[in-house]
Amino acid sequence: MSNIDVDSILDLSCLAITDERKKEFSGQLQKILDYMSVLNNVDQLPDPQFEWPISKDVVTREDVPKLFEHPLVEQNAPDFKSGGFSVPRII
Amino acid sequence: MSILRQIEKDLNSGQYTVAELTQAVLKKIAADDTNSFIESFDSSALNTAAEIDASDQTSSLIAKGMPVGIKDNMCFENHGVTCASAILDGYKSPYTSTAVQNMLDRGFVPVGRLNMDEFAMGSSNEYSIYGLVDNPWDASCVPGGSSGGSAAAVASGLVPVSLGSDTGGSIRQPASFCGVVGLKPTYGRVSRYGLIAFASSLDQIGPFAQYVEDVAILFESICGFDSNDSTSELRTDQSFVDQLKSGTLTGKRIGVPNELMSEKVATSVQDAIRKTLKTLESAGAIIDYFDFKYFDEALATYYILAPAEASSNLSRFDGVRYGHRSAKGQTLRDMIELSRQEGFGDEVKRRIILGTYVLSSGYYDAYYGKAQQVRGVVTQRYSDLLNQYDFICSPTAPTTAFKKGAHEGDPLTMYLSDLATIPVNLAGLPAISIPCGLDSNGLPIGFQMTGGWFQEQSLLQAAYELEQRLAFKPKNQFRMDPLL
Amino acid sequence: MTYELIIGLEIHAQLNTNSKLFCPAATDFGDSPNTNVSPVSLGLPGALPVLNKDAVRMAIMAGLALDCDIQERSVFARKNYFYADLPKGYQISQFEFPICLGGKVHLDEFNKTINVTRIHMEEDAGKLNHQGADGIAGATSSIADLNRAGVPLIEIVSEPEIRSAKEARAYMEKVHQILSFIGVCDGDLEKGSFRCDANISIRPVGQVEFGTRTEVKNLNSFRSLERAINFEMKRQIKVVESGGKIIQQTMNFDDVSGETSALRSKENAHDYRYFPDPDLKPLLVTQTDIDQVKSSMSELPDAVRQRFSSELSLPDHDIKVYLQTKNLFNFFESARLKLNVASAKDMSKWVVGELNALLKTDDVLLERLSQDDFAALIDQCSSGDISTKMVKDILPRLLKSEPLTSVLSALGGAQISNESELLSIVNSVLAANPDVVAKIKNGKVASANFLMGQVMKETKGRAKPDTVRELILNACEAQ
Repeated sequence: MSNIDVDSILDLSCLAITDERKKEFSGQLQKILDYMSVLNNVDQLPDPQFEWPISKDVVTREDVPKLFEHPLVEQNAPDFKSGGFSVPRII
Repeated sequence: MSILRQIEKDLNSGQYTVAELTQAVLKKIAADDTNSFIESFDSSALNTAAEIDASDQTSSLIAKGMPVGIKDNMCFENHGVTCASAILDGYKSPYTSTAVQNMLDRGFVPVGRLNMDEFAMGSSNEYSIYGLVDNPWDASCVPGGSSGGSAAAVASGLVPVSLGSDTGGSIRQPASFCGVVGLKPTYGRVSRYGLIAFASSLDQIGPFAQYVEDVAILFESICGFDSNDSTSELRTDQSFVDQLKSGTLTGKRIGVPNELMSEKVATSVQDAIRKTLKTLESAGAIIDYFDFKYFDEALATYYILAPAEASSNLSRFDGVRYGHRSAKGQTLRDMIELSRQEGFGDEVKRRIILGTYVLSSGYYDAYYGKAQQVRGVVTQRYSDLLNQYDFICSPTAPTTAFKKGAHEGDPLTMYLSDLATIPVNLAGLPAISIPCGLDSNGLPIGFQMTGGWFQEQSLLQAAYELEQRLAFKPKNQFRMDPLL
Repeated sequence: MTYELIIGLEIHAQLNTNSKLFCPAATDFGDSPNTNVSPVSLGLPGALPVLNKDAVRMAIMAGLALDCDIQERSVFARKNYFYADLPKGYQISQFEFPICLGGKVHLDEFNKTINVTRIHMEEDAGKLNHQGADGIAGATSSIADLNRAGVPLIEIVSEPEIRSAKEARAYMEKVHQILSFIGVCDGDLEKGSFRCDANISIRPVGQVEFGTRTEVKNLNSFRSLERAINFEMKRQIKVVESGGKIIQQTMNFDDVSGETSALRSKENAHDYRYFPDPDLKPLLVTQTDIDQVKSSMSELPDAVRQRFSSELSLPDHDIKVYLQTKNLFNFFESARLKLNVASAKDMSKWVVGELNALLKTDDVLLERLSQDDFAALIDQCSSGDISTKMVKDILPRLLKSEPLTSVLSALGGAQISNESELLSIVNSVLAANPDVVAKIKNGKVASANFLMGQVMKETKGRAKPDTVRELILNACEAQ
């Protein structure tokens, strides 16, 4: 992972880090990714039943609305205005 | 031995009230200097205690009023929860997680939230904004992680039981380092609703205690199907305490992976495990060794899948609706970037970057896709092995507790310390760590037993049997001292 | 050089459920901001999605109505990106394994079938209300309202087989008609319940490869779709003819200026990092499930059209109205069975005309109209017992739940067709208007209308017009 790669990954993950950290991280991540090459030792494909280890069908619920109100929703918000979550300008 | 049963006896005989018990625990926490608690829930705990004292409702499982600590990643309505991260500083949950609710319904009294590695990412509890936690056996050592506070609080006798969560060993490894019992249940046994997610397909809540019986009691209190968690399982076998003492080790087939009795593991740890296997053998179990073959692959798989899921799970921390918001961002995008930069610690950032990378276009198949395939292979391997063996046994961790700062700047070495616990999470199996001895430095060693899917009953029975024979002496047993 | 237009549409239709796709928050439109929410739709730490059974049923219905193969196994995936209206930082959608594959939509007026690539389920995003300016540009801040976040959507993706703006419009209208008619989508374009993205490219006629396409987002009316495509086609041709290259990008369409414009390039460079959502296991649908949904489904629009046209001889216009207005259709389908004299076609004329017009006024509810009374009214009209004028007078009163019998008796009874009874009234009217009679005798037959009006006035509209007219003309001649 070169420095340029880290920048695009940081962009995708919406993270800003210092150049110093960037350098440190790329070295560490390179080491970790090198370790991942052991996966190429496995060429066997698992039996499909082991794709998800436990049961395989999703749980569903009835279509019944339920109200949720809690003062903490507003209290936790960094900037709550006119009933909504206010954010800085987008463009 | 059971501390909860002892407390029950005392409560029933009127030795002290739940309020007195709770008060005493809160005082202990206030006086504690191991940093295992982040916050104690003084007023809500005392209110709950008073309600229990005033009510004549009883519980069939265990008397109401048992104090319990919860890891700082479980939501509890009107209480703070931060995952030991600056990004959730000051956040209070408007709802209660199912595991905590189940526990409340059984009459447990949550007394506070426990220190952990930020977002459960770590094996030493060193990545917490609330600072390091002392290992109760040696304050210069780490308690393990990520549920370091949960393990240390029990080991130092602050609370009789606590809850942690285990994604790659986060219950079992600190249990091992702190000389307590920790259970990671089968994936789907305990609802994850209200557990702040690290890696959704691996996370599972589980109990800590000094004795197997107390682990079984807390486990039975929290487990069960939950319609709020699509991955929770509807099971009929949900009683573990009744039959706990009716098991036998005679004839039990035990498999031991050769790789975990090799140079990968400290000699003193190997010695203690060998001794424990002898104990099992003398109790009538049949010991067999095998090559697991996939430890390195499992570790690599884990460090692709867990960060991948985490990178997505942690996207909701954007400073828009709750949590830390940077004062500096002029635009929405800048605000989100800076809030995340300021709010997340280094290890979390490292894993977000790693996880984003393995999911990004051009790398997905080579990393994420490949890892899913290997996860299936590992699961299938376990399935085959568990047809041959009742339990797979090994050391819980390759070493005993290491010194604080030992792995600084070297995340890969830290990751390698999860070798024995990680494959179990990939397969979603239940596993327990029980203390089986001390090394030459007087630090505890954990013995890990892995059972088949949903075989917690037989796993707990076997662990209980073994515990009786090992007679491990805890460091600081929880004691009710009304004078405190 | 002549160019061929290549269009593929992605239609987003909100499903008509009571609660959201993955949580029990209500889906009502227009409530105060952030009241239809839950820990899940607020993206709170620790919240987990649980799939709405009815949303699955409706997605299957849509798939069956569009002739798709319903997949036994579909997988929810996370589409990752950051935005203030996306509370979890990812949208739960279906990517590799959607619930429906391969359908078709037939466009009668073009005698052409457009193939549907797939239908997948996903959650809608919230809404941003921009402050300090009309739009996003120039706004000083924005306020996120998560009432819409998590509302179930299906996305219907067509093959790039559409060749004109008119075809695109016909396709969008047809899909709209089908989904509204089977009840899986309320079809309200103004509320954004039904909207579409258009992928547009051009190529010289005869060329096999597709040109580079642009994607125009969020078209929320049939007209906007047509206009956006026409504008984008002209723009692309101009770029190519002046030697330029089309850039693959996402565009907005401005309804006021009628022009498309590119979104900032950064928003185009998305790598969504789709992966299966670990909070949700695969959705498994059995053939039994599908059969059950199928048996509960109402007739599809094409079948209704066929039946109404061949069995009931209804004009195309009437059929179109029924296919657009489900409650009118339901009313007509059961009320017409209660007719004894009139034909269904007779009744339809009244339903689509007078009744439909009345229903467009505010306080009128179809539910208040008795089907028996309505059928009896139409029967009496057809048998000549009451005039069309009377029907028009009576219908509003029936809609206020007045029984037909009491309305008729208040009006003094049914139509007067008895000639001797009418003749005395006609004679008195003629006697009172000798000048008009003279005009008629001089050949100005149209003046008879005035006299008819007088007779109607005398009889409170109950006189049978044909008979009155005949009586007036005969009487004038005889004088």
